[in-house]
Amino acid sequence: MELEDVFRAHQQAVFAYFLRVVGNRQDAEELTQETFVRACSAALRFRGDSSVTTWLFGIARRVLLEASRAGLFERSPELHEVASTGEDVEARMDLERALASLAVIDREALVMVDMLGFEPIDAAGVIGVTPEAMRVRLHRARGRLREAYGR
Amino acid sequence: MSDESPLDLRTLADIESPEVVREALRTFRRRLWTRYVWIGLAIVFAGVAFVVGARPSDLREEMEDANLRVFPESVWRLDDASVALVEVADLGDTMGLHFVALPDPGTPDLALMVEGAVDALMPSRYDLYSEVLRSRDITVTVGPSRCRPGCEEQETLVLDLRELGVPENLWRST
Repeated sequence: MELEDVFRAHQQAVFAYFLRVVGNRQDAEELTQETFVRACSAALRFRGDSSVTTWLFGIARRVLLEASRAGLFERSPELHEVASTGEDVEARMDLERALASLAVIDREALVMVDMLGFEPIDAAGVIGVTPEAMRVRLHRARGRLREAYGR
Repeated sequence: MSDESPLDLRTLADIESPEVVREALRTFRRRLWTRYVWIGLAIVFAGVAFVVGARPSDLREEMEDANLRVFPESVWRLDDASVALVEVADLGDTMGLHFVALPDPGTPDLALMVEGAVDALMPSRYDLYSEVLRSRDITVTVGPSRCRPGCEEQETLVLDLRELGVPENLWRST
């Protein structure tokens, strides 16, 4: 499989990760692109110890960290439309608002596990915390989301 | 921990993603190219710096790098100063001469002038490096630094390099 095909297969998930964590479409697009640029350099060093998805999200998270140091999260998040699937759009907008109202640390845990489907242990590896800490973080984040959604 | 099932966030992943992969690959190639250019420039600059650094920057370094150098250590005593020729170096068509002039305590600084000098360097008030055409006889004028050319306080020394033991292949013209 060509590198470009691998990237293309993960493009949507990486973009969704950034969009939901950062809350800004333009920033998410730039961060996604930067992730793949760095992945090009890192590809030669990739030994297959983890899945390609975990490896790519590890790079994405480093890109996010650097961007946050550069003041990325000082900008206010914006709400964006979800692709229409005929479901209750209003309910999803509420969910989106509830997620956007959480702290970045909570959003990230929820986005990785509950939105993108990472196993908590893999998400812990990407974020750089122990599996136990990840479980606690996830539990608290889910509670806060439910609370924000119920308001 | 509660067993309450989490809210289903999977629908929030259903987002249309912009096409960034192609641009990312282009950016990667551009950065790689830029990096190579910078590395190339750094190598060129390092090479230039090495060549420039290896070349003598002044007469003193040129004399230090000369293939043939002799150290006559000849000293002349004047009224209130001592003058020494400490080094003669082969500079190709010319010779490099290094004089040291030490005025006695309480006397003014000295000025040394070598007749026919094509280049000169005074790194300190006591040192004079002078480049002259090859010649057996060297005429040196010594006087107080305030002295204008031709003033009465100046003394003239005529040095015979052969008598000072400087090899002939250093002072005979090629």
